[in-house]
Amino acid sequence: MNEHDPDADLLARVGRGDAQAVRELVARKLPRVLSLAVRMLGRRGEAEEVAQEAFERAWRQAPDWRPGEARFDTWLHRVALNLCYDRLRRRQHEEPYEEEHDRPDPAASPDARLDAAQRSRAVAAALAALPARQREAIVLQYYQELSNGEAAMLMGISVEALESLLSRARRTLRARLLGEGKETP
Amino acid sequence: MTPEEQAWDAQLDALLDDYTVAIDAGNPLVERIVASAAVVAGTRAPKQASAGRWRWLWPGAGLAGIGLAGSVAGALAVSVTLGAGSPRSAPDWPDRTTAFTEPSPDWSEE
Repeated sequence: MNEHDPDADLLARVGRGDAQAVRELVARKLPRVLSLAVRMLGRRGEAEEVAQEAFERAWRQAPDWRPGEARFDTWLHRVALNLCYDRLRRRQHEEPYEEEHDRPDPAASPDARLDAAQRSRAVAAALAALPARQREAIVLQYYQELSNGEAAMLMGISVEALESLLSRARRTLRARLLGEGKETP
Repeated sequence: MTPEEQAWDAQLDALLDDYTVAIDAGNPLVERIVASAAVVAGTRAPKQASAGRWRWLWPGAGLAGIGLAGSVAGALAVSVTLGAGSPRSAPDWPDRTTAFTEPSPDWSEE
Protein backbone atom coordinates (compact mmCIF):
# COMPACT_ATOMS: atom_id res chain seq x y z
CA MET A 1 0.00 0.00 0.00
CA ASN A 2 1.54 3.27 -1.10
CA GLU A 3 -0.78 5.79 0.51
CA HIS A 4 0.42 7.31 3.74
CA ASP A 5 -1.18 5.91 6.87
CA PRO A 6 -2.29 8.93 8.91
CA ASP A 7 -1.86 6.95 12.13
CA ALA A 8 1.62 5.59 11.38
CA ASP A 9 3.60 8.28 13.20
CA LEU A 10 1.39 8.17 16.26
CA LEU A 11 1.58 4.40 16.36
CA ALA A 12 5.36 4.50 16.10
CA ARG A 13 5.43 6.75 19.15
CA VAL A 14 3.12 4.34 20.96
CA GLY A 15 5.54 1.57 20.08
CA ARG A 16 8.35 3.54 21.71
CA GLY A 17 6.32 3.81 24.91
CA ASP A 18 5.22 7.43 24.56
CA ALA A 19 2.38 7.83 27.09
CA GLN A 20 1.07 10.98 25.44
CA ALA A 21 0.82 9.17 22.12
CA VAL A 22 -1.20 6.42 23.79
CA ARG A 23 -3.67 9.00 25.05
CA GLU A 24 -3.87 10.68 21.63
CA LEU A 25 -4.47 7.40 19.86
CA VAL A 26 -7.24 6.47 22.29
CA ALA A 27 -8.87 9.87 21.81
CA ARG A 28 -8.64 9.51 18.05
CA LYS A 29 -9.80 5.91 17.68
CA LEU A 30 -11.93 4.94 20.66
CA PRO A 31 -15.15 6.66 19.54
CA ARG A 32 -15.05 4.83 16.21
CA VAL A 33 -14.13 1.47 17.69
CA LEU A 34 -16.75 1.76 20.41
CA SER A 35 -19.44 2.85 17.95
CA LEU A 36 -18.62 -0.10 15.74
CA ALA A 37 -18.82 -2.54 18.63
CA VAL A 38 -22.00 -1.08 20.10
CA ARG A 39 -23.75 -1.21 16.75
CA MET A 40 -22.54 -4.72 16.03
CA LEU A 41 -23.34 -6.10 19.47
CA GLY A 42 -26.18 -3.91 20.69
CA ARG A 43 -24.84 -4.15 24.24
CA ARG A 44 -22.80 -1.31 25.65
CA GLY A 45 -20.97 -3.34 28.30
CA GLU A 46 -19.80 -6.00 25.88
CA ALA A 47 -18.88 -3.33 23.35
CA GLU A 48 -16.64 -1.61 25.89
CA GLU A 49 -14.89 -4.92 26.61
CA VAL A 50 -14.35 -5.41 22.89
CA ALA A 51 -12.96 -1.90 22.52
CA GLN A 52 -10.54 -2.43 25.39
CA GLU A 53 -9.38 -5.77 24.02
CA ALA A 54 -8.88 -4.29 20.56
CA PHE A 55 -6.67 -1.56 22.01
CA GLU A 56 -4.70 -4.05 24.08
CA ARG A 57 -3.92 -5.90 20.87
CA ALA A 58 -2.88 -2.60 19.32
CA TRP A 59 -0.47 -1.93 22.20
CA ARG A 60 1.10 -5.37 21.69
CA GLN A 61 1.33 -4.81 17.95
CA ALA A 62 2.64 -1.24 18.02
CA PRO A 63 6.39 -1.93 18.55
CA ASP A 64 6.42 -4.35 15.60
CA TRP A 65 4.08 -2.37 13.35
CA ARG A 66 5.35 -2.12 9.79
CA PRO A 67 4.01 0.95 8.05
CA GLY A 68 2.91 0.30 4.49
CA GLU A 69 1.56 -3.20 4.96
CA ALA A 70 -1.90 -2.17 6.14
CA ARG A 71 -3.55 0.95 7.45
CA PHE A 72 -3.80 0.91 11.20
CA ASP A 73 -7.43 2.04 11.10
CA THR A 74 -8.35 -0.88 8.84
CA TRP A 75 -6.43 -3.30 11.05
CA LEU A 76 -8.13 -1.99 14.20
CA HIS A 77 -11.56 -2.28 12.57
CA ARG A 78 -10.80 -5.86 11.58
CA VAL A 79 -9.66 -6.75 15.09
CA ALA A 80 -12.76 -5.17 16.64
CA LEU A 81 -15.04 -6.91 14.15
CA ASN A 82 -13.45 -10.29 14.82
CA LEU A 83 -13.91 -9.76 18.54
CA CYS A 84 -17.56 -8.83 17.93
CA TYR A 85 -18.10 -11.99 15.90
CA ASP A 86 -16.53 -14.06 18.68
CA ARG A 87 -19.08 -12.59 21.08
CA LEU A 88 -21.97 -13.10 18.68
CA ARG A 89 -20.97 -16.72 18.15
CA ARG A 90 -20.86 -17.29 21.91
CA ARG A 91 -24.31 -15.74 22.24
CA GLN A 92 -25.83 -18.28 19.91
CA HIS A 93 -25.30 -20.84 22.64
CA GLU A 94 -26.67 -18.57 25.33
CA GLU A 95 -29.97 -17.05 24.34
CA PRO A 96 -31.86 -15.73 21.35
CA TYR A 97 -30.16 -12.51 20.32
CA GLU A 98 -33.26 -10.52 19.43
CA GLU A 99 -34.93 -10.94 22.78
CA GLU A 100 -32.85 -8.17 24.28
CA HIS A 101 -34.26 -5.44 22.13
CA ASP A 102 -37.57 -3.72 21.90
CA ARG A 103 -38.82 -4.59 18.47
CA PRO A 104 -40.49 -1.60 16.88
CA ASP A 105 -44.12 -2.06 16.11
CA PRO A 106 -44.20 -2.79 12.39
CA ALA A 107 -47.65 -1.29 12.21
CA ALA A 108 -46.50 2.03 13.60
CA SER A 109 -46.62 4.84 11.11
CA PRO A 110 -43.38 6.64 10.18
CA ASP A 111 -44.68 9.86 11.64
CA ALA A 112 -45.12 8.35 15.08
CA ARG A 113 -43.67 10.98 17.33
CA LEU A 114 -40.82 9.13 18.88
CA ASP A 115 -38.32 11.09 20.82
CA ALA A 116 -34.65 10.79 19.95
CA ALA A 117 -33.94 8.13 22.55
CA GLN A 118 -36.83 6.01 21.38
CA ARG A 119 -35.74 6.36 17.77
CA SER A 120 -32.22 5.42 18.73
CA ARG A 121 -33.47 2.30 20.51
CA ALA A 122 -35.67 1.42 17.56
CA VAL A 123 -32.74 1.68 15.16
CA ALA A 124 -30.56 -0.36 17.52
CA ALA A 125 -33.19 -3.09 17.63
CA ALA A 126 -33.69 -3.05 13.87
CA LEU A 127 -29.93 -3.28 13.32
CA ALA A 128 -29.65 -6.12 15.83
CA ALA A 129 -32.34 -8.03 13.99
CA LEU A 130 -30.43 -7.89 10.69
CA PRO A 131 -28.34 -10.88 9.64
CA ALA A 132 -24.79 -10.31 10.89
CA ARG A 133 -23.21 -9.70 7.49
CA GLN A 134 -25.87 -7.17 6.51
CA ARG A 135 -25.38 -5.44 9.83
CA GLU A 136 -21.61 -5.41 9.33
CA ALA A 137 -22.03 -3.91 5.86
CA ILE A 138 -24.28 -1.09 7.00
CA VAL A 139 -22.23 -0.35 10.10
CA LEU A 140 -18.99 -0.14 8.13
CA GLN A 141 -20.32 1.77 5.17
CA TYR A 142 -22.85 4.06 6.82
CA TYR A 143 -21.75 4.57 10.38
CA GLN A 144 -17.99 4.12 10.07
CA GLU A 145 -18.11 6.07 6.82
CA LEU A 146 -15.79 3.73 4.99
CA SER A 147 -15.89 3.73 1.22
CA ASN A 148 -17.52 0.73 -0.45
CA GLY A 149 -14.07 -0.45 -1.48
CA GLU A 150 -12.68 -0.22 2.04
CA ALA A 151 -15.71 -1.91 3.60
CA ALA A 152 -15.63 -4.69 1.02
CA MET A 153 -11.92 -5.26 1.59
CA LEU A 154 -12.45 -5.37 5.32
CA MET A 155 -15.24 -7.91 4.93
CA GLY A 156 -13.25 -9.95 2.43
CA ILE A 157 -15.90 -9.67 -0.30
CA SER A 158 -16.27 -7.93 -3.64
CA VAL A 159 -17.74 -4.45 -3.93
CA GLU A 160 -20.71 -5.95 -5.78
CA ALA A 161 -21.38 -8.37 -2.94
CA LEU A 162 -21.15 -5.50 -0.46
CA GLU A 163 -23.60 -3.43 -2.48
CA SER A 164 -26.01 -6.35 -2.53
CA LEU A 165 -25.76 -6.72 1.26
CA LEU A 166 -26.29 -2.98 1.69
CA SER A 167 -29.30 -2.96 -0.55
CA ARG A 168 -30.95 -5.84 1.33
CA ALA A 169 -30.05 -4.31 4.70
CA ARG A 170 -31.55 -0.95 3.80
CA ARG A 171 -34.69 -2.56 2.43
CA THR A 172 -35.14 -4.52 5.64
CA LEU A 173 -34.44 -1.47 7.80
CA ARG A 174 -36.91 0.63 5.84
CA ALA A 175 -39.53 -2.04 6.32
CA ARG A 176 -38.88 -2.34 10.03
CA LEU A 177 -38.45 1.31 10.86
CA LEU A 178 -40.68 3.03 8.37
CA GLY A 179 -43.14 0.26 7.61
CA GLU A 180 -42.35 0.48 3.95
CA GLY A 181 -42.91 -2.58 1.76
CA LYS A 182 -42.04 -6.04 2.94
CA GLU A 183 -38.79 -6.90 4.61
CA THR A 184 -36.44 -9.16 2.81
CA PRO A 185 -34.47 -11.96 4.39
CA MET B 1 -34.04 5.14 -7.94
CA THR B 2 -37.48 6.70 -8.04
CA PRO B 3 -38.23 9.94 -6.14
CA GLU B 4 -40.37 7.90 -3.76
CA GLU B 5 -37.49 5.53 -3.01
CA GLN B 6 -35.20 8.49 -2.52
CA ALA B 7 -37.64 9.93 0.00
CA TRP B 8 -37.73 6.59 1.89
CA ASP B 9 -33.95 6.49 1.85
CA ALA B 10 -33.69 10.03 3.18
CA GLN B 11 -36.08 9.13 5.98
CA LEU B 12 -34.09 6.02 6.75
CA ASP B 13 -30.84 8.01 6.84
CA ALA B 14 -32.41 10.50 9.23
CA LEU B 15 -33.47 7.65 11.50
CA LEU B 16 -30.09 5.93 11.32
CA ASP B 17 -28.45 9.22 12.25
CA ASP B 18 -30.42 9.21 15.49
CA TYR B 19 -28.55 6.13 16.60
CA THR B 20 -25.52 7.79 18.10
CA VAL B 21 -22.95 6.26 20.40
CA ALA B 22 -21.62 8.85 22.77
CA ILE B 23 -18.48 8.62 24.84
CA ASP B 24 -17.71 11.43 27.22
CA ALA B 25 -14.21 12.47 28.19
CA GLY B 26 -14.70 11.33 31.79
CA ASN B 27 -15.67 7.80 30.80
CA PRO B 28 -13.60 5.36 32.90
CA LEU B 29 -13.16 3.22 29.79
CA VAL B 30 -10.71 5.81 28.44
CA GLU B 31 -8.53 5.57 31.54
CA ARG B 32 -8.76 1.76 31.59
CA ILE B 33 -7.55 1.58 28.02
CA VAL B 34 -4.76 4.10 28.58
CA ALA B 35 -3.64 2.17 31.66
CA SER B 36 -3.68 -1.10 29.74
CA ALA B 37 -0.94 0.25 27.45
CA ALA B 38 1.45 0.49 30.40
CA VAL B 39 0.52 -3.02 31.54
CA VAL B 40 1.13 -4.47 28.08
CA ALA B 41 4.42 -2.59 27.76
CA GLY B 42 5.45 -3.87 31.19
CA THR B 43 4.89 -7.47 30.26
CA ARG B 44 6.58 -7.05 26.93
CA ALA B 45 9.71 -5.03 27.69
CA PRO B 46 11.73 -7.55 29.76
CA LYS B 47 11.10 -10.31 27.26
CA GLN B 48 12.27 -8.09 24.41
CA ALA B 49 15.31 -6.87 26.27
CA SER B 50 16.53 -10.32 27.15
CA ALA B 51 15.81 -11.61 23.66
CA GLY B 52 17.76 -8.68 22.22
CA ARG B 53 20.69 -9.13 24.58
CA TRP B 54 21.30 -12.74 23.55
CA ARG B 55 20.29 -12.42 19.93
CA TRP B 56 23.94 -12.46 18.74
CA LEU B 57 24.42 -15.90 20.29
CA TRP B 58 21.90 -17.68 18.10
CA PRO B 59 23.90 -17.84 14.81
CA GLY B 60 26.99 -19.16 16.67
CA ALA B 61 24.93 -21.67 18.60
CA GLY B 62 23.37 -22.84 15.37
CA LEU B 63 26.74 -23.35 13.71
CA ALA B 64 28.10 -25.16 16.75
CA GLY B 65 25.07 -27.42 16.75
CA ILE B 66 25.51 -28.26 13.09
CA GLY B 67 29.23 -28.97 13.65
CA LEU B 68 28.51 -31.21 16.61
CA ALA B 69 25.85 -33.12 14.75
CA GLY B 70 28.30 -33.60 11.83
CA SER B 71 31.02 -34.95 14.14
CA VAL B 72 28.67 -37.42 15.76
CA ALA B 73 27.36 -38.58 12.41
CA GLY B 74 30.91 -38.96 11.04
CA ALA B 75 32.07 -40.93 14.05
CA LEU B 76 29.06 -43.18 13.80
CA ALA B 77 29.66 -43.78 10.10
CA VAL B 78 33.32 -44.71 10.68
CA SER B 79 32.48 -47.09 13.49
CA VAL B 80 29.75 -48.77 11.46
CA THR B 81 32.05 -49.15 8.45
CA LEU B 82 34.92 -50.65 10.45
CA GLY B 83 32.58 -52.83 12.44
CA ALA B 84 31.05 -54.29 9.31
CA GLY B 85 34.18 -56.47 8.47
CA SER B 86 34.71 -59.73 10.40
CA PRO B 87 37.31 -59.42 13.19
CA ARG B 88 40.49 -61.39 12.76
CA SER B 89 41.02 -64.15 15.27
CA ALA B 90 44.27 -64.67 17.14
CA PRO B 91 45.45 -67.83 15.26
CA ASP B 92 45.24 -65.89 11.97
CA TRP B 93 47.60 -63.35 13.38
CA PRO B 94 50.65 -65.26 14.50
CA ASP B 95 53.00 -62.33 14.97
CA ARG B 96 50.89 -61.20 17.89
CA THR B 97 52.05 -64.27 19.78
CA THR B 98 54.79 -63.59 22.34
CA ALA B 99 56.97 -65.76 24.55
CA PHE B 100 54.57 -65.24 27.32
CA THR B 101 51.61 -66.33 25.30
CA GLU B 102 53.27 -69.50 23.89
CA PRO B 103 51.09 -72.30 25.20
CA SER B 104 53.87 -74.90 25.77
CA PRO B 105 57.50 -73.78 25.57
CA ASP B 106 60.00 -76.46 24.67
CA TRP B 107 62.71 -76.77 27.38
CA SER B 108 63.92 -80.28 26.35
CA GLU B 109 67.41 -79.20 25.28
CA GLU B 110 68.17 -77.35 28.53
